[in-house]
Amino acid sequence: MKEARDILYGALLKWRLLKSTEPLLVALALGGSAYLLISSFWVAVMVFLISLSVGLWFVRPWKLTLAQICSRVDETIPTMEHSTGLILENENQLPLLSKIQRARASETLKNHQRDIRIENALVPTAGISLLVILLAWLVHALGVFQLDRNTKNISEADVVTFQTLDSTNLEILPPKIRSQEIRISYPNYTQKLDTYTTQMNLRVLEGSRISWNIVFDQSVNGVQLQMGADSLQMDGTKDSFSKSLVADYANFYAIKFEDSLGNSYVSDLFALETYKDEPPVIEMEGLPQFSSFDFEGPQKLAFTTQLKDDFGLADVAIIATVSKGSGESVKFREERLGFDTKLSSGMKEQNFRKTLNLRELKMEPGDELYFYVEAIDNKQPRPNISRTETFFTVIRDTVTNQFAVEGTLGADLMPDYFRSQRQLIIDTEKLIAEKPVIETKEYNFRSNELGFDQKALRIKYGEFMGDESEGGPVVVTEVEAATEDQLAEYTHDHDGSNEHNLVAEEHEDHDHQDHGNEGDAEDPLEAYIHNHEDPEASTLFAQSLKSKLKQAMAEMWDAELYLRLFQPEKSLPYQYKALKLIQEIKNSARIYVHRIGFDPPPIKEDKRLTGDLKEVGNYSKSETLEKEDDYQNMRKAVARLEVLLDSDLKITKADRDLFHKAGNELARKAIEEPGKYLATLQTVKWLSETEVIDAKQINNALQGLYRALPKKQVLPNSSDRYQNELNNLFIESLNVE
Amino acid sequence: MLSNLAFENKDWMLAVVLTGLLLFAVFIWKAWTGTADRRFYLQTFLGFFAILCLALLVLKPTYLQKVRKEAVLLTNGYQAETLDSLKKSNRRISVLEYAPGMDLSSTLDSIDRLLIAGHGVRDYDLWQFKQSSVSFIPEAISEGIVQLKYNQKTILGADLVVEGIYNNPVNQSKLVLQGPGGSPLDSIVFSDNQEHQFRLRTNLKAPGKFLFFVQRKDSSGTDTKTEPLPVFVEAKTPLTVLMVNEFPSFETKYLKNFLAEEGHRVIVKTKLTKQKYKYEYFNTERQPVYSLNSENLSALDLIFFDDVSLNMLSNSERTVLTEAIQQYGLGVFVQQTGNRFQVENKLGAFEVQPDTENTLKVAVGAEPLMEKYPVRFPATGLTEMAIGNYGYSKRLRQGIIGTTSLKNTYELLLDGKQAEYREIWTSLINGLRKQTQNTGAFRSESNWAFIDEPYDFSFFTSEENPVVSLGNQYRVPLLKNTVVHEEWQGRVYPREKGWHELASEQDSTTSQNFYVMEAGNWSSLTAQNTLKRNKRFFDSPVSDQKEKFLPQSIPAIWFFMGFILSMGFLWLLPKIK
Repeated sequence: MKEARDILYGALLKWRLLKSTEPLLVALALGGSAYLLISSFWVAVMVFLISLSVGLWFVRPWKLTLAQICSRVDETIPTMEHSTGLILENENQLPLLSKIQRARASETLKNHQRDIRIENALVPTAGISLLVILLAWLVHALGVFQLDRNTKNISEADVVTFQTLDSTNLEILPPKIRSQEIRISYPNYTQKLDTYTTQMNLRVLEGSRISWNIVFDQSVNGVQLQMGADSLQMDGTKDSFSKSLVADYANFYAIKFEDSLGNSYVSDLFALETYKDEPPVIEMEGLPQFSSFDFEGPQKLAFTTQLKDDFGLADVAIIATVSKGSGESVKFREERLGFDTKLSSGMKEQNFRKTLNLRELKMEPGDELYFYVEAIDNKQPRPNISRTETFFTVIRDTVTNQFAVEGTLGADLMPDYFRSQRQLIIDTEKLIAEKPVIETKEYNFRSNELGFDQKALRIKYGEFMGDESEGGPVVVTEVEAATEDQLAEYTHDHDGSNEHNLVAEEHEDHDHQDHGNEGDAEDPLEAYIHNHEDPEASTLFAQSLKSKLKQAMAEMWDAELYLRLFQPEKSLPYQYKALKLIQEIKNSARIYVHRIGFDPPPIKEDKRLTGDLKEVGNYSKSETLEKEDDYQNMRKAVARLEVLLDSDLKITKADRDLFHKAGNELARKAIEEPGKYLATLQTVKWLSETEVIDAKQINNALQGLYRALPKKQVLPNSSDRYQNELNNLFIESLNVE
Repeated sequence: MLSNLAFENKDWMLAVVLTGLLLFAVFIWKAWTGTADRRFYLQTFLGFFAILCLALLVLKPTYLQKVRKEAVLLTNGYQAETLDSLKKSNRRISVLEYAPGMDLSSTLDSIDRLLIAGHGVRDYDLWQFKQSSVSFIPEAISEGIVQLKYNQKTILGADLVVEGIYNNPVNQSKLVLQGPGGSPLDSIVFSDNQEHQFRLRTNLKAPGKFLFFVQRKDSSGTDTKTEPLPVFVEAKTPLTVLMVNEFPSFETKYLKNFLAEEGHRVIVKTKLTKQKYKYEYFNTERQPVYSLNSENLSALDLIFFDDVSLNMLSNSERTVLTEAIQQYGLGVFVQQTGNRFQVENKLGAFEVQPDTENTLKVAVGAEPLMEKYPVRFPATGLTEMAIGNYGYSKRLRQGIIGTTSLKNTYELLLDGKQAEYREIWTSLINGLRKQTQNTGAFRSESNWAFIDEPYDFSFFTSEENPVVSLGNQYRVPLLKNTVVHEEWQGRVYPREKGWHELASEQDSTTSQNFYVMEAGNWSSLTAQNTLKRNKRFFDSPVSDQKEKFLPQSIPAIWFFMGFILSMGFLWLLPKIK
């Protein structure tokens, strides 16, 4: 029993398969024709898939059921007595009669298994499909229906004309280009689709790959792509050739080939121009070049930036530099900040927004922020980077009132110990203010310490005066060091370190040199003033300065005295007086000169001015300077063309070489201005290849080359003459006068 | 009268006389009747007359007659009105059409006076009129270039300056200077139609033989006539220069760099200290110049000395140097290190005049203002010559020494004025440098010639038997000048268009290039030149002009008539009786 069922199932499967095959065939035929007509594999696949699905949806082979099979079997096999359906019924549920009938039907089915005729249209479908394919092939072969890009009509302007090089009389029809196609593949990063053109004059992005596909109407040999001075063999056989290369720089090219009889042909010259990937353009909006903020209040700097690039942006950032401090103690901190707006990579144009909060940058009064926006595009391998100009922002420092020695000097070069007097006053005032809260011992100690500092300061000034320090130099340096440490936390001033070293050196000098005569010799001011040996004979300016300094030191003495007596209140007026005097000295202290770092080499005193020439010898130098003339061959070519024009001489191999070189020289120039020189270059190129010339071509080449030559100046040159006896007699008589 | 008589068939004289005598004898014998009566004498006479007539009939006697015929020779550009008025004044005047090169000798013999109307006969035909009485009726050139001046042979980098006069230009017409191949380089538009001076200029950018063109265009821009302008541009060889300095200077440093970069052979000798020198060789081998001698001087074209080192020369060096200058034409440039122009140097002082100015607008390029020594060079004498307004040269026999008043010319380079610097030094160097000796030289009025027209040239050489050939085609016969024995004259008749070269066979470097163009080019210029020459030629009266006589034959009919009459009478005579 089971077998009959299986037969039915098998028949169903077979039916479904057959039904499916019909649309498959149709789809195959349509896809094939599409391929033949359009010559695009993907289009063909698409057509195939679409027609297949449409066909399947139309036929719906999955909708076929067993019941349909049964009725089909009943119709086709009369002996089944319309009982096929019984086979599918469950045997147990059937009445006896039906059972018998079912058994009979099963038996009949088994016997007539081969008679099951399944309705299908396979043969006509296949036939039609075949017909369609054949038709498409015919169309394709005849080239009637040319949808193909390759065989598209080449527009008039793009037609490449060839000229034969060897002879004018041709036994065969000269080969022509049947189809030309140039594919320009842009570099990957540009994400631009490849473009196709038939135009031979190209303008492409630097780094693009260019593929030429050329089909000739007859078979030719040795097709060359003559690019600049190089000849590149094109790949291919018989009539179709191709070549691809990466365009890195502007150039010229021509196509040269030989026909089957060995005649050479060369095409016109075509320009291959390249353009560069432009760096991103950054436009800043709403931002002044300089801006300043008060410390109180919001310190926010908001701006928008518009970025544009021709092929897409890769990165953008704000490069910010915070500078703290001034003079030599300036410190820089560089940060790379992002924008608030996120960059979507590869975008060609985008607006960015940023609010800079100066507080977040930990800026304090007096600090400055320099920043610029930097944008990088997606060019590969080396991206283009562009940046804006630098913008400045400062937080105003209202506290500092900088004292400048000289209006013209950028940095304050006053030695730090001049400031110590102010510091002493501050410390003294602080001590007085703290008097009620601290112990007497502590108070006295600090007062004494201040007195010591005052002494150290006095001694330092004393050095400028040439005074001896009773405390000894070693002590002074120690104290000085201590003072410096103490003062450090109040002053924030480190730029005096240079001067500090200077003082220390002076102390060392004290150690090594005789104390007896140091009064004059060691006066550090000496170098700066017009002191003519006698310290008393110094200039008026130095005199007043000196007396002021002396006065200041006297005040310091008094100040120190009261500090030592633990009476800082009384000391204060003296300190103020000393400060005032020192300020005055500062104001007239133009004598301080910025030290510059030049150390002259030591002079060997024993060699100096001896006139010893033992080690001095004759010196001889020989050099050959090649005079480079970039247009040498062009000049030669011009002269040669003129001769050719004058005579009916045949163009020789040497001439062609010369014109080839001249062409290369011109090409160098033409790359900059292709429009101006292309025609000439083409003619010269032609002359460098051909054996047949005519006067018109020579004239054109001559004209163009001569015009392209740069101006020349008369230069010293040799000259010759014939010494005529008459002239000699004349000259003789001239000299007699 | 008898001296004017001649016989055409003089050769037959003897035979005729003998035959005549014989005949006469026969006559006498025939007439002799025994008595010498009147009839006998008459017959004898008539017989003699008849035989004489017969003899003269054979001998054809001629007699000289004074020529009284006028003719007019119509040359290019004659006016029809002139011819008409001539014809009116003399109806029997004969008219001749002139063609260049035609032989006029027979015509000239037969006429008493010749009138030439038009622009005149070509100069190579003038010799035919040397002994004739000719009146020239000149006709002005109606339109075209009547004067032209340009450098036919020049050097690379120089400017080609085409100057000339255009007669009666059409208003708004243009004259265009075209380069090789015909590219326009310079042009001028004529604004009025008077005689117009023009000046076209272009830079010569390549060496070789070139054809420039002068094109006339009318106001609408259509080309009316293009005429070739052959130019021979030479590229010259570099110089050998020695620079001797007492101490290093910037001036020398920049100058030597300039020269060395241009490919000249430069040797620089700079004193470093006592007897120690720095030698620099550019584009040449090491050949230290310890002292000057005739050997190392002979290789040099120019020496730069600073005034100090020039005065430090030893006596022998000075002698050698002076010889090299005076005999061999060596050039010396004296670099001034201070205002010591007037100090007598070893070659003689420069004559200078003090000047209050310390700066000078140098007449080159953009006329830069430059520092100079407070001196001025005087107006030139016989042997002195100014170079621009900054240089000065003095001829010492064959050689030249020179100097400049400019200070620190290298500052021009630092200012980026390379062109001016080059121009100054080029003029100074080219004004002084030695000129190499040639074995011969060609000289010709121009480097043009026309097809089938004579091209005259002179060749100067001291060779005994110079041989000059035209483009390796044939040797040109030369005629020695009787006064200047170094000059040889020659004439060629070029047959083909294009460049031709005359070269000495002894020394192929001596050559003359000339361009042969088709007749008809430069017609107005040729006409003007012809006109000028004709005016000059026919202006001088012909001194040895004689009255012209022409032998005239006596018509034979007279002798025949005489013979017939006398014969007739002799026949009649017996009848009368």
